[in-house]
Amino acid sequence: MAAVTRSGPRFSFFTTRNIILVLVAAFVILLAIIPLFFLLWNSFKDVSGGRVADFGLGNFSLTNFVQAYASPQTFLYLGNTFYFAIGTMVVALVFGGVIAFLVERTNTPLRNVIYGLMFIPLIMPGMLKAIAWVLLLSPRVGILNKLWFSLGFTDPLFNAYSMPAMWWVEGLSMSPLVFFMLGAALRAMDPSLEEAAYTAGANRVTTLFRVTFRLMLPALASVSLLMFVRGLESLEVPLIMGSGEGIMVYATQIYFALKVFTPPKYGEAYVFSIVMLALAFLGVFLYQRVMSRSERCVTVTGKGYRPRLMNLGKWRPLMAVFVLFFLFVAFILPFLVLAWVSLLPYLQLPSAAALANVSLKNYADLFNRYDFPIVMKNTAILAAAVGVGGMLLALIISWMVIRLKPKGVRFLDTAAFLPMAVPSIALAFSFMVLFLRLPIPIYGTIWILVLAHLIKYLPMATRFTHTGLSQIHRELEDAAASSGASFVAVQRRILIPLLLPSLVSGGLYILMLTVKVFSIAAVLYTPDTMVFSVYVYQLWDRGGANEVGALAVVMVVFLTALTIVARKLTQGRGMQIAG
Amino acid sequence: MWSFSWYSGPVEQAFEAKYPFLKLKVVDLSTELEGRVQEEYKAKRYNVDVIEIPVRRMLRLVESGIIQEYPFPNWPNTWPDQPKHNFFRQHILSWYAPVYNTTQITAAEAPKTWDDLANARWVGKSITTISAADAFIGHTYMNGDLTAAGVNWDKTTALWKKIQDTAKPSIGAGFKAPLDLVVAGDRALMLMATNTITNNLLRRGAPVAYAPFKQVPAAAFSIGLAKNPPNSNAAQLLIDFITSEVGIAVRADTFPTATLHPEAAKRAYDNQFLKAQGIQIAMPPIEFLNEQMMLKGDEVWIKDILKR
Repeated sequence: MAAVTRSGPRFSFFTTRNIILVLVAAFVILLAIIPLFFLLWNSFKDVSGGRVADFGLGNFSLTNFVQAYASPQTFLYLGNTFYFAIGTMVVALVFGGVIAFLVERTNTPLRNVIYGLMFIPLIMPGMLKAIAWVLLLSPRVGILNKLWFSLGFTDPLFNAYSMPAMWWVEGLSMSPLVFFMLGAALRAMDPSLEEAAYTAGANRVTTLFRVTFRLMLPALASVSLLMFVRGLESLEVPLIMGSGEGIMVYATQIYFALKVFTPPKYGEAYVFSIVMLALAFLGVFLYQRVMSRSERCVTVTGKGYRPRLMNLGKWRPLMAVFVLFFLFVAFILPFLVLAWVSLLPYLQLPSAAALANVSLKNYADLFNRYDFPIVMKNTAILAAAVGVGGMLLALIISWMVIRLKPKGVRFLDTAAFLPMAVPSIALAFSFMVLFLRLPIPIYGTIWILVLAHLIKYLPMATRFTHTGLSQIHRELEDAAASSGASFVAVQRRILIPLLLPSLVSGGLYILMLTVKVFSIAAVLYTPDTMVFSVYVYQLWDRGGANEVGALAVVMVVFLTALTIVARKLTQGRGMQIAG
Repeated sequence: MWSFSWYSGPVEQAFEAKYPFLKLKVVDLSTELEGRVQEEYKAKRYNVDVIEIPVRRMLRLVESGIIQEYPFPNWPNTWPDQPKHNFFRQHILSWYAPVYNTTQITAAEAPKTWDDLANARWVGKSITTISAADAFIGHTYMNGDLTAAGVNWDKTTALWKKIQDTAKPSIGAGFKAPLDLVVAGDRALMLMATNTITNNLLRRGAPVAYAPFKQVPAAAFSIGLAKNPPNSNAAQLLIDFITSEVGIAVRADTFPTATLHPEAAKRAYDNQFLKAQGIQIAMPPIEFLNEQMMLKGDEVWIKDILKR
């Protein structure tokens, strides 16, 4: 009897694609789970006396939980935290969403300028941004309130020390993320669906709500989740504008536990973080429910399409004035306060007397500092590595989660999101403890900073790539693959070009967070790896707000120029290549 | 060198001018310092030569075995305010006092005593800080309630509760941001400011002044040699330099703050300021301090008084 043999290619697991995917998944899961394990484990340990961790098998206790939740105030703070995060999310969604729509789907003039301006709040140092807003909204001396008083009113119009003011300031700070994520999604949207609605007799409002909004659902879900979780961990605004008047949130409690008590109450901070983590888990669960239906929202298929801009007609100049006025009040005014501060020896409100103190001394001092070039070089390496590396990693994860969907992929998706809810300082300590013991020589180098920031901002990077990828139908990749293109070639020649706007926006966003956020670098830096965020903090703490203002202005100008260049380079690319 | 609160520039320059073959690198850390150094030592990674840190934190590093004894030839432990052992020296200090905005409060209106702070006229105009627990502990010593036998918190706690209830200050964090709000005029009075930040602002011409109190609380900074330092000889040269009369004068002037070095104090700006104003500082003796007492001080200040 003749043996039956199977013809055709032999299946092998060890393809380039699978090796890349397995390595990436293992890398992400390992590095994302470690901070979580660190947090959970040590929240049940008595980490006192300035120790950050205890990995012994004994001495488990609930002391940290008891200390953290013994006070009924803690539950009030939980309410405040939730209230603050929701309000912030709403402001960011409304503001960022409207501007994104106007820039991406209408013929509003000055769109490149608006695009560049949207980055300003991202790079302004948090403490200084909060103080700039206090100088604008303070009920006693706020510039805007003084203008109000000059009109004859006696009661202040704004109160910097209130929850609505905190929503406004934090919401505006976060609106760039909404702008970039929704903007990328709007740019990718196939307008033929909207045109079909018009043809069927629907008016613009009906089309907006019944077609456009529905197509935007994955992006809206992504960005809402991010806004909410970011709102939970926001510190500077609640610290400067809220805690003074008793509006306490969990982030301020964590700050107090880590920064005010001596020795720091790491255990208590870890416990507060776990509640934030639980809320983030809830968000991820809801998000995954929405995304499981994302096939319905696919808009880019193999069929050609051409995104079209809505003609605003006679409303065009008016809309431009509206947007620019809004951007002026929201972004440029605090930046002007920052620029003003950078010209002075100490904080002063604008006046004739203050004008006499204006000079460029802070800038001269900054450029004359011997370590300034080192800081800039380190920052450039860190930012570029995190921006590029983070988006490539995110793309591969998104491809697995949205395209490949192997068994257990939700675990990878959730793991990639977890670092979002782990406080930066806990993440930094977990990396410190890990790499002090591993025989991988990156402790004390710039690469441990790269790795820690990359993992911390991977959740944001993946939201950009998830959103972008969920809007591209797989038939494009299938067609390429059936024509013999390799996995790498499909990524390089199909997906990356199509996703370019999302990748660039996401890359710039995590790059800027990396440049600005202090907590990770503070734990892991050395004199040879000093970066911008630590430099800002030290200038702030030792010198004054004014040198920080000068440094921030330099960075805002540089990074705004970078975003405009990036925007120019990606214009006419990405999704539009299909047309 | 690792420092809790470093003001870069002049000290490095002076040290490197004296020893041109050495390069001083400073890791300027805040509350992360202890955690980081403890983890590095647990992993047997010795990256630090010299540590400069508030004394209450130094006590814990000594207890953890991270600091080694050193004779401090330039600063014997027989001098005032020094521990009886040779693990560290208390070399500079922070003192705390109310600071007001001179465009909003005249010298005549400024508070003159701690009791003056408990006044309804500061409602809506004053700010305090959650970070002033060291100042509060110093205040108990100033009131005679902190002794070698222990602490009676009641009197000082009652005073500060009264101030809180009457002046209803806003409560900031750290010393920098609240004082910046005073400088900008958003608040008129900071109830407990630190001298280093205030002195920096005064040097820049900011419209602030210390309330003319006769006695104020203080807390010391200390310097010590790490165990197993990677650059042992250079570390000793650095410690000897900073604890020398010349070195400590530069350090104190850069911070800028008062020094405990008897000779350098004769010309240090902040010491001379204290002397000219007739301000006495009340710094708890090192042997009065222990971890439990200081933890309790934190709890009383933050939870009982400020209710945070």
